[in-house]
Amino acid sequence: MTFLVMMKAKLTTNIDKERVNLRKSIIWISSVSLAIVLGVSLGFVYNSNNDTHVEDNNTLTAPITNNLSEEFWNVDLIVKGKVIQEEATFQKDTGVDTKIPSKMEVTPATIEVDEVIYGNEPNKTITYLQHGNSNETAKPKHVQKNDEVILILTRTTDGQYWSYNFDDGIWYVKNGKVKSNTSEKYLVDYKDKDAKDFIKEIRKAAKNKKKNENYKQ
Amino acid sequence: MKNKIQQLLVVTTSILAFVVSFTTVVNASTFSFSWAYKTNGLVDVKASPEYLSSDYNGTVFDEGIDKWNASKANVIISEVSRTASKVDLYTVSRSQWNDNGWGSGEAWAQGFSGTTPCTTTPVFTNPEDKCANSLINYGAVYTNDSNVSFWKSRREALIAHEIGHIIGLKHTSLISAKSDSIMTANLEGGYDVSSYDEGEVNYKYR
Repeated sequence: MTFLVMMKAKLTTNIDKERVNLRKSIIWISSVSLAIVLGVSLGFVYNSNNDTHVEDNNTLTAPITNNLSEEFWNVDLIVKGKVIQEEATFQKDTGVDTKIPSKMEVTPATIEVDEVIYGNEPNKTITYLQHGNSNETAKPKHVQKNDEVILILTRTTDGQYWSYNFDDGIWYVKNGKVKSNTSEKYLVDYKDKDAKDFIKEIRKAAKNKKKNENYKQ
Repeated sequence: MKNKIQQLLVVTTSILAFVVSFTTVVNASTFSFSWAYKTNGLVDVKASPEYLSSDYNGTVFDEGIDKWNASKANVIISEVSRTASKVDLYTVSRSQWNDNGWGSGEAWAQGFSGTTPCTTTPVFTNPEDKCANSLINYGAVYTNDSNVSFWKSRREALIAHEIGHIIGLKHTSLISAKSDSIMTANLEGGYDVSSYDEGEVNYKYR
């Protein structure tokens, strides 16, 4: 009987010791984790208070513009429509005589035109060109079949169309609202706004399109 | 004693995490690729303006490259014939620019590593995708003939800015440096090489 009591007491002591050790480990891991979180957070807070860094991998220089009409200086057509299908990707020569040939991948999409918001396009469908292919993460993101879109476009010499300026010209219509990945200062405020209001504003801007006075006409 | 060591370790970890998160963001104004050619410790850019229009060729090009040459950045840009050049500058017609879907911009720069273009479009494709940590041995700068500034000072700055991209500089993202850096996006920071720009080049090629 005494032996059993002693064994029980010893077992209890061992369990208590393990509990204490476990508690110490938890406190230790928590402290280090907290230190890392605190350090990283302070680093970012310090940065945001003193300097802001936005990852920018572009090499493009955009022109000076003072309003949406100047932003649209190279817009030829604005349509509201539906994506019928994406066509096969092809390689396009840039037409510039670089020492190392520079080709680019182009993936066309056929758009059924519901409404011409600005410009002149007699056909019921247009070919909308997109950079890259569908097998990789293309940027700007490619449109998908059945997407309802508003496209702000520039015409090519053979009557096809590109977005007038990458993400800025690609707008999706969902539940009557417009969505885009644009970061263009005169367009960014229209994100998630009513599609009808957006159409009204961009039509007005396109009708009054002009180059900024700092540029040759 | 054990407790003190633990406390010290926690504080050290915290400081380390702070420094890492801070410097990771701070050193974000250069690409991971670098220009392949250096002579006597200077980044050596041999550029040809042969295919530039009269808006950019001549004194505009000369004064554009002089912005870097007159600075304290360890870079030397020289004008050479197209047969000897490693960077070629082009003025692209409106129709060609539009046919390529290059947007409404004034100019853009394209680096090549070997025969691989780092990017095939001016924006939205990360130039590091195909050239991360690579050496750039050829560069092309394209100016848009349908979007040319009246101001000579801006055109000169544009030449300097785009060559800055070729040697590995990103757009300046530090607010404190943006106000006078020639590498600020769309030349919003000004038209001259700043001490920050010099520092970026010299740190990258130290």
